[in-house]
Amino acid sequence: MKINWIYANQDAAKAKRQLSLASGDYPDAYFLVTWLDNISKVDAQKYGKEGVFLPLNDLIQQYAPNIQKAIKDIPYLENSVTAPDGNIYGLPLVSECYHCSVYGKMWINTDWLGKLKLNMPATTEEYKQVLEAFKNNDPNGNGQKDEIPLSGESTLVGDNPIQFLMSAFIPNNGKDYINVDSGKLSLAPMQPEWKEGLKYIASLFKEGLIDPGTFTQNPDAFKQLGTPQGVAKLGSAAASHSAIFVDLNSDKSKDYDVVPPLKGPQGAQFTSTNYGNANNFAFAITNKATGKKAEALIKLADYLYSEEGTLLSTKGKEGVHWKKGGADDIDLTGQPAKYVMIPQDPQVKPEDKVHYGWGERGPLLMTREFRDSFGTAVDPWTPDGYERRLYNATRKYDGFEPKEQFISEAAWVDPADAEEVSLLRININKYIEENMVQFATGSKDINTEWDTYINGFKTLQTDRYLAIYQKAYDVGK
Amino acid sequence: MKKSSRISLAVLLSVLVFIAGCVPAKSKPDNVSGNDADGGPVTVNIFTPKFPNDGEYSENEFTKLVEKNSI
Repeated sequence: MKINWIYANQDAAKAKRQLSLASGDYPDAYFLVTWLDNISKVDAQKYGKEGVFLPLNDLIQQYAPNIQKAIKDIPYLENSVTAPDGNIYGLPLVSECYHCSVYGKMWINTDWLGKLKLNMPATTEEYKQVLEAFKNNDPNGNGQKDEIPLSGESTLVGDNPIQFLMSAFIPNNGKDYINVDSGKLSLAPMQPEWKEGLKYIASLFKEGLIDPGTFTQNPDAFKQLGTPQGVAKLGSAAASHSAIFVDLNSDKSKDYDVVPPLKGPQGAQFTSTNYGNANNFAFAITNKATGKKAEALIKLADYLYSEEGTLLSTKGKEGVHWKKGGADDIDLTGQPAKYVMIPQDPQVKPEDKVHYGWGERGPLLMTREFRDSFGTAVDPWTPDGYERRLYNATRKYDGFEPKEQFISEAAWVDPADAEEVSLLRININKYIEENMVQFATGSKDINTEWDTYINGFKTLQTDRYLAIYQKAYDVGK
Repeated sequence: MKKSSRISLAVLLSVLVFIAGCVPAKSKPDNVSGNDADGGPVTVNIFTPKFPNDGEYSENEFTKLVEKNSI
């Protein structure tokens, strides 16, 4: 097989792909970088039904043992890749990033806990008491009341403290805010538990325990709070990983560990995860590829779903970029490491680097087992051991996932409903998030304005919104 | 009758000449084992985003490995 690459520049890739499909001048296959552009499940159905994307089922059966094995072995994969009509129109980049899957973590200054002789908080009430102590008892010892008990930032879901704090009252995925109970979808911000959570968060804000900048500042400002010159200022921080708010090379970095999920007054204790689904596709074969072309392309995808294919594509060349693990190399799980990355000369200019693999591009199978099998520095509190620190932190969130979860990006929404639900989602999320901050900061009073807030959902067609997603959830089960 | 037959024959010949012009001169065998109709490797056109420092994937060693392994 010979590959004729058709390139698109990074910033124009999505538009160029869409234009190619709209114009009919499309290639034999799409091979995408999913964080930049991907084939949504709606588009997979649309172009599959039109015959532009080939159904891959038979090709996989005939030529793709690695893909077959992945679909058999990975519990969520078959539902994730099979459209409601039974066809597979695309293949995902499977990336089971364990620590990334728990995006709503809370971190706390354990040096301050030690100085104030406080235990790691386990309940919402204990957490509040710790923040009060941080505010009032001068844990940084400079004689000034300059401590910031809790902060976050406004651009990433997990960096908003509401994501973590609300999870002690009701499951809160912070994205579409949809929960599932016995197969029925509901909107968390309309529930009485959400009201109680907002009351708690508002009480923290009213006492000056939440930094007002939390809801407006960007990651740069957040990181300056966590990495100041001189003594530490930040007590607790919401972030998917601690390098967001504290420089890894700073001595302060090792002072922050995660707060495990807090137990709320009614016993609720949840964490949201996006682990275990494939939201979109990185690869599709079009009807321009017939016969041997289609066979070659599915074999290409199948090779990339093998361990060797994924390893060489994402990590580079053996002996140059990575090597097999030795006796002293320990992987993230504490077992002998299968692979170890070889440090590269940081002085080499990007244009002079040896390009070998394709990076995280196209269909790949980065299972948790694969990702965890690389050697990592044993001390998690060193910069080189950061992956281990995140792994250990994430383990403290295991077991608190809701029994059922709905992830709208992964749902098989009917293409006929896609535009409508997308518009509804924009308006509903905007309403939820604006009110969330207003209630949390006290600019709206929860006791007097809650009913008006609930009535506001009716004009946003929330019933229709949930009905569309309910249909998608039901067909995807 | 004779004239009519000559016209029909001429028309038939013209059609045959036209068809012959449209058909490749040499009939090619069905492709087997990853080869295209010429017996050479199948060429596939793949769309992908490219980053400033990616280099040309066509010249990439991994591309050649995948090309070799895929079919």
